[in-house]
This record gives sequence, structure tokens and C-alpha cells, in this order.
Amino acid sequence: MAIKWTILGLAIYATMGLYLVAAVLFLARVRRVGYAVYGVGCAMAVAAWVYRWLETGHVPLQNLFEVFLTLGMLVLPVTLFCRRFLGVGGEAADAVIGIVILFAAGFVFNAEPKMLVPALQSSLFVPHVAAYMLAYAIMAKAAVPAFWGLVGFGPPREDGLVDWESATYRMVSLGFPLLTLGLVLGAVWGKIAWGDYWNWDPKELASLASWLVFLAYLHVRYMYGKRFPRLNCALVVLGAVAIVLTLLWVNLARIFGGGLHSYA
Amino acid sequence: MRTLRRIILWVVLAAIALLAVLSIVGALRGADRAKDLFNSAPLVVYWFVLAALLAAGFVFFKRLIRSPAALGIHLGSLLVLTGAMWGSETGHDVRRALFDSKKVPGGYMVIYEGRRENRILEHKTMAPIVELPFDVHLNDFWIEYYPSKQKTWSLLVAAPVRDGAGHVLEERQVDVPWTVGQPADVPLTQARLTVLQYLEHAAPTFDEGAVPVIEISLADGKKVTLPARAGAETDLADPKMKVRVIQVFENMRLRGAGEEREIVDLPDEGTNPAVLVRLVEPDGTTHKRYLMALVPMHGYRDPGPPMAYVFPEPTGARADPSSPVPAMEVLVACDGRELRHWFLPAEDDPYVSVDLAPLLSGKDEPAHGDARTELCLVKPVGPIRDYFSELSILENGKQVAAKVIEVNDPLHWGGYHFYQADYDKQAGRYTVLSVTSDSGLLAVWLGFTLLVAATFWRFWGEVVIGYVTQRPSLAEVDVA
Repeated sequence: MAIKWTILGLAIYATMGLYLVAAVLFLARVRRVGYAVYGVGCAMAVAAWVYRWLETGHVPLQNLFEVFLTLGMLVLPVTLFCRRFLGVGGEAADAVIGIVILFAAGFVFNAEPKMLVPALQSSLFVPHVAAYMLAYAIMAKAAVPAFWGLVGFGPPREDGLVDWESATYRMVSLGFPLLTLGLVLGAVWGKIAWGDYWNWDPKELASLASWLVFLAYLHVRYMYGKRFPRLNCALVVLGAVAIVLTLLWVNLARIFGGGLHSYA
Repeated sequence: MRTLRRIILWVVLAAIALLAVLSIVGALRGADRAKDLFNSAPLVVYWFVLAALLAAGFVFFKRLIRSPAALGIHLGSLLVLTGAMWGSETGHDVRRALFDSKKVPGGYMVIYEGRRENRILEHKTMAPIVELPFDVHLNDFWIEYYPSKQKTWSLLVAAPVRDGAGHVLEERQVDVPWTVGQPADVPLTQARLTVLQYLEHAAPTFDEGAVPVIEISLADGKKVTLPARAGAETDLADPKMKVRVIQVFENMRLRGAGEEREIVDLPDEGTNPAVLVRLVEPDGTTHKRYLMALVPMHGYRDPGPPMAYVFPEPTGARADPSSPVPAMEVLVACDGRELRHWFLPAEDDPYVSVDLAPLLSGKDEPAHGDARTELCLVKPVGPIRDYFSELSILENGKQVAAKVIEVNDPLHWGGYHFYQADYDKQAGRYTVLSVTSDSGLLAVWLGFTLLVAATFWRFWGEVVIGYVTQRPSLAEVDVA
């Protein structure tokens, strides 16, 4: 955890600031200005990303810092995609998700090329993490309409957008393949690095549990469709909670006693 | 039928929920106990029920057959599940008990460098559990490090630890913190040490007038020297003959073959300093002899005396910004005796050392083997980047496979994968391989591929096609 007093670090903090302003503007229903600020923030993130590329000479997807920097740049395209093609809104939540992602890049992960322990030196490392982080961001976005659907009230629906339950389903449909990919890539990598595709490691089991919650959701929705929208929404909120627990597991695992992922 | 489907779906939901709960329980219990839990008898029943539910899906839900994506997801899951059950510990146990299978799910192998091994040891007890029908031979083992952030080489002392009877129990290595010009105790000894000079980039220096020479050992035990320079010559008394330097090579190489063979000097292609000398006997018979500085030779066919091409020993060092290696001059004192020494590492040396035994004991003879007390100047290294084992597989003594394995790159042979797992951290003499059975692996890989591909097809592909063709996709249709 350290502040980065570099051009790159300052660009990340500026982006976070712009995303924050955008989120506040979206909440205040000043949408046009909000989108303008969100766009400037995204442009700043793109600039930081290109700067990183020029600085290192490789596509910035080689380590966790670069993965999070890339994701921080992708929140606006995801917002626009969801609104245009899926009829799902939630710009304020997206901007906040962008801040959380960039927080990791700006404060948690080291921008210096890291000396990886032998087991982490695999070409599957970045795809595994990238698939998971993108899936987690999308599931976080799914949890917002799911939460409104569960509690039964929330911001009024805008024109052209679908209801909370449908929005939740569409976001889960977008995120679930990535969640599956992340899980499977982790297993394949585990086989190559440790000899087994499944090691019963706490983080593996925690991520399996969150995958299973979404799997249960998909089966419930197949069985009953929209007949019990609150049940559907509750399962997705539960899935998001499971994801948060999985992410925090790295720290919790120290209390419960280690595992393969305790280096992460 | 509708009711039956509903019942199946409810059982499916219960199975998913149970697995999710057990996963969380397992996560809280830690990997070892989780593995025991998921391999326990009730869970064996559960896995069979789960497989049966997936199979029942294909019978009772037409859509699982009709929709390629849904078929792929569920068939992939079934393949992963059956492959995993086949490859599990319990799966191996059952096949050993029922079908005379010798295969074990896995374990460790410990192999010393230059030795062969065929026993697999149990994970926890390290007791041998099975002998493979082939041998794994460790030809070589090495570690690669990241470059260190530390630039300065460090000093350490390596000394034997003895029991009461004076037997050496082990060798201990202790860091010697140093600052130029400040005397400090040498740990494990009675000596004190002062670093006189440290040059970060250094080249060795020689005494003035010191040049490479040809050292000739005469019959009476005396030695005469001849400068290694073309044209230099000397007359020897015993044996009586004339020695003349014909040519000096910086890098002597043999070129061509057979009749065409010639000896040439290729200074740009390496280092092999050598000289060609001519020996003339009193009766006029001449002999030619090549002397290489790096490879002293003892056998020769002519009647001349033993000769060696000798370079002068460096006596100090000077700063040389182009040099990648440092140099250090130390003064070590013990009981009024002193040792002044220059550490002059060559480019690829991981360390250089000096034997302190003569200084410590006051006897002018070097100690041997594990009785040595050495002061070493050690190159700083970063964290370990990777470790490597060069393995070969021997069947009836004949090599049938070979591979250099590293952490993410195992060797596959005889139904097992051999992984680089650990190594002898004390002396680096043996390697620990993690051995895992490949049973059921193919089904799992196929299942993973199907599962991922079909999931993307179901949730992304079908929606895109629906959007393009302007038809509502399956993902948008509420089936029930």
C-alpha cells in the first residue's frame, strides 16, 4: 500500500477523482455532464494505459497492476455497451466500480516489474486473473439492480431500460462465462504449476462456492423465470457477497491457516 | 413428466446448494482436511448422485439434447466430474483393490544428483508406497536467480562446527558485515578483519615486469623461465638442448580435419593462450611442442624436459569502469599473524574464497575438505527465479526419455507427471519431484474445454446471433 508519485500514478488518481465526480453527477441526475466527466476520466485512463505501453514497450497486461489499469479503462465501454445493447443502466455504480478497480492499481499493486515466485511464472497467470476481475466487475454491476429488485425500491427506471430483474439476468449472462473461464484457467494452471487441477485450497473452494451460487441462480431462473423476482435477485446478491468473501479470502486465509493462494 | 422434471430440478438445486455449503466448510477447514472431507464415503455417494443427476438431465430434459450449448455445458460438467472421480485418491484405491492396478494417485520422489530412483514416497509420511517399472535419473540440478538490487558483494565466513571429539558435525556460514577501513571480528573464529579497499569495477594488476613465461623444470629440480615471446630462446644444460619460442597464440584452435588439419590463432573467437616451442637436441634433431596455459599437459613424446606456459598471478587490482566484477583487499589478523589478500573474482564466479586455516592455526599448510575455514566474497543474488532438473527415464538401463523440467513444465511418462516441487536447500544435492497420476486427466481437459466453450456459446453466442437475426435468443426466453 503506497502512493505512486509518478506520472502514471497521478493519472490514475486523476481518473479516480473524475470517476467520483461523474458518479456524484449521475446520482444527482445530471446525466449529460456526468457522461462528459466520465468520458474525460476514461480518456485519462486510456492516456495512462498508452503511456504505460510506451514506457515498458509491451502491451500492459503482464502483471496485476497492468490488469487493473486496463480494467479501469474499460468501465466506460462496458457502461455504454450495457446501455446500448442490453438496456441496463447504472452509470453511477459503474463509475464507483471503476474507482474500486483503480484503487487497486493506484495503491495496492506495485507498478515495478515484480520478481514472481516460480509457480506464478505462467502464461496462464494474466488470463486467469483478467477473466476473474472482469467477471467480478460485471457481477458487481449485476448486484446493483439485484439489490433494488430484492428490496423492492430504487431509482426510477429510465426510458429504454429493462426492469431490475431482467437487468440482473442480462448482467449475470454477460459475467457467468467469464467466471467459468477464470475458474477453469485457474484449474489448468494449478495442474501445470502444482501437479493437480484441484488442490482443495481455500480460495479454490471459495471461488467454487461463488460460481455455484450463480449456477443455482441460473437453474432457479430456468425453473421459474420471473415468477419469483425477489428470489432471483436475492441469489445474485448472495453471489456478489460470495465474490467479496473470495476476494478477501487472501487476508482471511491467514487467520484460518494458509493455502496455495496465500502469496497473492 | 412435468412433475418429475420439477423434482429433478429441485434435487439439482439441493445438490448445488449442498456443494456450495460444503465448499465453504472445506475452505474454512484448510486444504488437507477439505481433501479428506471431499474424499470421504458420504461424499463419494454425493459425487455419484451428482453424476447421475447430470445423466438424468439428458434423458428427461429434451432441451439439453436439442440445444448444443446446453448439451455442451452439461456434458462438459459430466466429463469433468467422471474424470476427476477416476483420477481421485479414492478412484485409485478402488482400482488397486479390485483390478490389480499398481497405479497410485501420486507422491514425492527424492533424487540425488547423478543417481536414479524408482520409489514414490507418500505425501505426508515420506514412506515408499510404490516402485515404478522404470528409473528416473537426475543428471543435473540448478537454480536461476533474479538479478539482485544489491550491487556490493558480501563477505561470509564458512567454518566447520565440531563436537567435543573434534569431529566435524556440519559447516556453518555466517555473514561478515564490513565497512572499508573498520576492523571487525570474523564470526566463528578468533580473527579480526579489515577491508582495506573495495573497488566496484576492477581489473587485476600484476607486478611490474611480470610477463607470461615458459617454465622449464630441469632434471636437478631447478626451474628456468623463458619469456613467452616469439624468438626468445635459451640453452639448457641438463638435458642438453636448445629451446626456442616459435609462435604465441591468444586463442589456439585446430581447424580442418585429417591431412588438411592446421593449427591457427583466432583471437576474436575465444581464449586459449598457447605457445609453440622448438626443441633442438645437440645432434640437430628438432621437436615441436605446443603448450597451453589453461590446459597444462604432462605427456609428450620428445625427450625434452617438462614445460608449462604460465601467466603471472595478479598481485592487486585497479578501478576499471568496463569491468563487471569488483575486487576487495582484506587484512585478516590472528594471534599476531597477518594475512593480506586480494579477492579477484572472474566474470562468472559466484564467489571467491581464501583458506584461513594456515592463519588461524599458525601452521603453513592448507586444511582439507570439511576442515577448511574459508573467507568468501560472494556475488549478491536476487530471489530465486526458477529451479531446473535435467531428468532422464531409464527402462532396463536404457534411456527412453529425457527432459529439463522446471516449475511450470513437467515431464510426462508412464502414466505420471513429474513436477519440480522442491530441492535440497542446504547443499543443493537432491531434488524433490512431485509425481501425479494422469488417470482421468483427458476426460477432465475435454470437459473443461466443452464447459467453457459451451458456456460462452450459451450466454454470449446465442444472444449475438439472436441480435443479428432479429430473433429473440434462447437466453431471452423464459422456458418454465
